Amino acid sequence: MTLTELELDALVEVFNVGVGQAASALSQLAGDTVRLNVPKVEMLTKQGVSSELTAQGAGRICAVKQEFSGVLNTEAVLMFPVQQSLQLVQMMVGDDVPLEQLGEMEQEALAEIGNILLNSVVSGVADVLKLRFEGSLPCVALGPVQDVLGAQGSLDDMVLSLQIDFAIDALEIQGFLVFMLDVESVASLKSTVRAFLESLS
Amino acid sequence: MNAPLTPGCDCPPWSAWVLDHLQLGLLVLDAEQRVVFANRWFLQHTGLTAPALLQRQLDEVFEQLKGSAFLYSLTQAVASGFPTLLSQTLHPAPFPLYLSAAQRDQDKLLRQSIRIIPAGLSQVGSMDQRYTFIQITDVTQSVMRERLLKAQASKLKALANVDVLTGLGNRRLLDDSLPQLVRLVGKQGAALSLVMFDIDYFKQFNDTYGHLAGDDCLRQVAGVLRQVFRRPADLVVRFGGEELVAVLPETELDDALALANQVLQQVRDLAIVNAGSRVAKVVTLSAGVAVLQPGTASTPMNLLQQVDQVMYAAKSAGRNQVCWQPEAQ
Amino acid sequence: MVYKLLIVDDSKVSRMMIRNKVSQLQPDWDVLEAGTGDEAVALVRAHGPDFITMDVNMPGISGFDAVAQIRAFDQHSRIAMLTANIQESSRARASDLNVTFVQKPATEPAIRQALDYFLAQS
Repeated sequence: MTLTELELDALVEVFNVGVGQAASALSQLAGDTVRLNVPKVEMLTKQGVSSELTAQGAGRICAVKQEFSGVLNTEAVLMFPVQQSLQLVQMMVGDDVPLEQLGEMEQEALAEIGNILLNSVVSGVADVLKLRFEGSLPCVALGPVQDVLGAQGSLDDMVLSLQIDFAIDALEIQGFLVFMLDVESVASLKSTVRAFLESLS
Repeated sequence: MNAPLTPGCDCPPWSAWVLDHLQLGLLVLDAEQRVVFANRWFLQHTGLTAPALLQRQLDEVFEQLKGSAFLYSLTQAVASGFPTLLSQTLHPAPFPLYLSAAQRDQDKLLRQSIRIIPAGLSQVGSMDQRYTFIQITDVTQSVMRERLLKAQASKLKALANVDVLTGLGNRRLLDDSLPQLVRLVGKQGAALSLVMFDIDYFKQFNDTYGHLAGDDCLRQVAGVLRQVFRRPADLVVRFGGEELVAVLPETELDDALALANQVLQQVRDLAIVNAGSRVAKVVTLSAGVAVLQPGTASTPMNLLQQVDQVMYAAKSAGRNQVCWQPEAQ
Repeated sequence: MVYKLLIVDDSKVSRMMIRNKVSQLQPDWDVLEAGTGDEAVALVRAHGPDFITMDVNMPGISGFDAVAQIRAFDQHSRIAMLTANIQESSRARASDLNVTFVQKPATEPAIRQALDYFLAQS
């Protein structure tokens, strides 16, 4: 089961509302304007996401994972290439000293940034689609994208994948936000989006 | 001390005791974000008593929270119902928490890692209202440990770039630095000079006087180079056994030659006797100079090959002299 | 008063969302849609709408190009340009083209902002 072109288009709009909220929250944190945009939403296999990231030269990633449950059950994984994660933390921490690597303290900062982004996005989606979710605290994972995504389930599993364009000051980075969905959740999502589209007509 | 637990609740007898004695800060807020519980740890580390907190909102009790990121996060968390993390890195110490009165006087705040957990959908059914709890962990020790580790890693990295014998940079440092310096030639429009020095008849010196004397000789020669090439941007490394390289940004041929000759003279002046030398009675150097001009394409590898060849030209020409090649091709 | 509104956006769902919000706030209005800048120019020529919402970022001719073309023959319509990146859309550009900028995504507050602009007494 998959989503139609129109349903995916609807999700782009819905996610952009969520991501707009995330941008406000992150702007507060950064003390600087943060711009976020979701240009594309797709349904791919985990392997597909992994290949896309590797093709962009982002073989090693930094990920923030959270679980959301309710009408839909999903694990959300926000991913940035390691180098860009470093730049992001540096920008937020406001240090002039270049970071060599992500120590424990930097990972916690990234966990917070990811937590804000994920909570805002899902909150936005919940508002627009009239859904309710429970969340979880974030956890950080580092490593090759196949390992991070393939930790549970198989690389053939389908996921809802969003590209996220992230801009703060002169820094522009691209991340991926992936929602792991089991079969029931895909069905729930599809019917929710259909209902949403119907409410617009 | 705190608001009593709901009468008739079937919580185990140890609940209140555990909550109160947890070794981290615990606050529980009601649906209007008023404090209904603050555990012992929190009270002790703020130096407050329960009455100061109960039934009040946090920014009423703590001035510094007004308009803070913590308060913003709390509002977001309650609105979304999602657990929220405040890292120590981005918010070092939102609450005025101290280890002791003495530390409070010195303004030594505890570094805090905070979690805000609003009651989720599944919990609300079993409670009379939507509570939120806040968990505060003292991570001061972790922060100090990380800082120490980072400082040590920095030191180690610096050491890895040093030649132990001479105290000059080593080959790795040269390999790491040269690409950027070559790039800067184009960017800044300033020439880059490389000078390669080789100690003449060094093998014979070691055979005659032993390796310890050889080491000492190297150290002295390194000392001369360090003294002559003193600008902050100059890089001097031990390139090989008895080869030393000086990398001089923003330096033209004339200056590089003058400095190279100065080094050769000062090494002669060291008057280190070398019976194995067929060209002088003392230790001498051969040197090659290569200059990369802006507008010329080159690579670090090319440049090193150039200066190597020119240095060997000095050897062939009789040693104890400087040879040069004006342009790197 | 019954006004005519043209919604221009390459995303069908985005057009649906804007139309939906507008029809809640102004049920009498006549609402047209265009999926590209070229379509928009043609529709303006044919129907002369009072108000236009124009997505900036579209494939084919951009929102700015479309507005420039429209302004060549139509100065009276009020145009609200929807953009995710309000910085790029400077005040100078806004007054040059005689438009206003509204932050995307097109949430209810954003649409209200556009409507306020459309209905303001000059």
